[in-house]
Amino acid sequence: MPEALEASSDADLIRAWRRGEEPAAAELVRRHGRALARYLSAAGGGEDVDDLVQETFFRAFRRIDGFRGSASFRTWLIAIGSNALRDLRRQQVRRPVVVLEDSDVRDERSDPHDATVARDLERLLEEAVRQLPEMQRDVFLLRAQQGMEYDEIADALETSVGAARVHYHHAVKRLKKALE
Amino acid sequence: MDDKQLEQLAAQLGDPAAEQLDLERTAQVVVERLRLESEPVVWWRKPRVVRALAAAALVVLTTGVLVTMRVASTGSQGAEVAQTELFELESLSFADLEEVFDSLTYERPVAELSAVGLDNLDENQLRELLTLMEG
Repeated sequence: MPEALEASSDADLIRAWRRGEEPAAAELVRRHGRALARYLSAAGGGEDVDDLVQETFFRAFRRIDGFRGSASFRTWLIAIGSNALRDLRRQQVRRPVVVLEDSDVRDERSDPHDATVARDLERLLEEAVRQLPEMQRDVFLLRAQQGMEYDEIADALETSVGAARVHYHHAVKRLKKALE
Repeated sequence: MDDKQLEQLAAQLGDPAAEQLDLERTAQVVVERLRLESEPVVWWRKPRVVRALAAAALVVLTTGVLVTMRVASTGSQGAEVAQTELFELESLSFADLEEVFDSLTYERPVAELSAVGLDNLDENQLRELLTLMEG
C-alpha cells in the first residue's frame, strides 16, 4: 500500500477518486470500512454486514459528486449505509433472527461469571437497539457508538440538532428500560 | 445503569463484525464492481437491440410457419402469395418489424365478429349466402 495514500486526507482521496484513481477508493474502504461495519452490525445488519459494507461503498463512490463536504466522509457514508440497510430489509420478506455465537462476542474478562454477565448485557442491548424506531436507533448509534456530535448527526440524518437530541433522549430512556 | 455505562456498552456493539471484516477483499470487490459498471455496454447487448432482434426472429419464424401452412393448403399459387409477403417483411426496418410483431398479438373483439348475424340479412343476401355455402 503506497505510503502517500495513507498520509492523504479524505478530501484528497475523494478528489483522486473523482479523477478515476482506483487506489484512492480502496484506501477509503480501508480507512472507514470497520467503522461502517460496526454501525451496520449494531443497526441490525446481522449476517449481511459484509454485503452491506460493499453496497454502501459502491453507492457512495458512484454518487461521489453528491458529497459536498459539509459533513465528514464517514458521516455521509453511514447515512448511505443506513439507507442500504433499510432497502435490504424491505426486500426481505421476513428477517431471520440472528443469534450471536459465543465466539463472536469479545471476552476480555478473566472471571467467567463477569464475562457471561457482560455477554448477556451486550445481547440485550443489541436486541433493544434493533427494536428502536429507525431514527432513534440511528441517532443513538451515531452518538454513542460512533462518537459524533449532534450537528454532525443532524446533518447526516437530515434533521435538526434539536430533533436529534430528543431522539437520543428517547432512545436512551427506552434502552435503559429494556436493560432493567 | 446510568447514561455513561449505557454509552460504554453501546460503544462495543458491532465490534466482532468490524474485526471480522476483510478490508482488502472488500476494497477489491468494490473497485471491481465500479470498474465493471464503467465499462461500455457492447451494442448488441443493449436491451433495445435485443428486443428488436427477438421481435425480428419471431416474425421470421411466424412467417415461415405461415408459408409452410399456405403451401400445404393452396399449392404453388399460395406459396407465391406467401413468398411475396415474406419479401415485404424482410424489407422492413427494426421499428416496422416491432410494429408488425405487436400487431400479431392483436385479437379481434368478439363483438366485432358477431355484429352481423343472420337476422340482419335480407332475403337476397340469405340466398346469396346459401349459394356460396353450397359451393
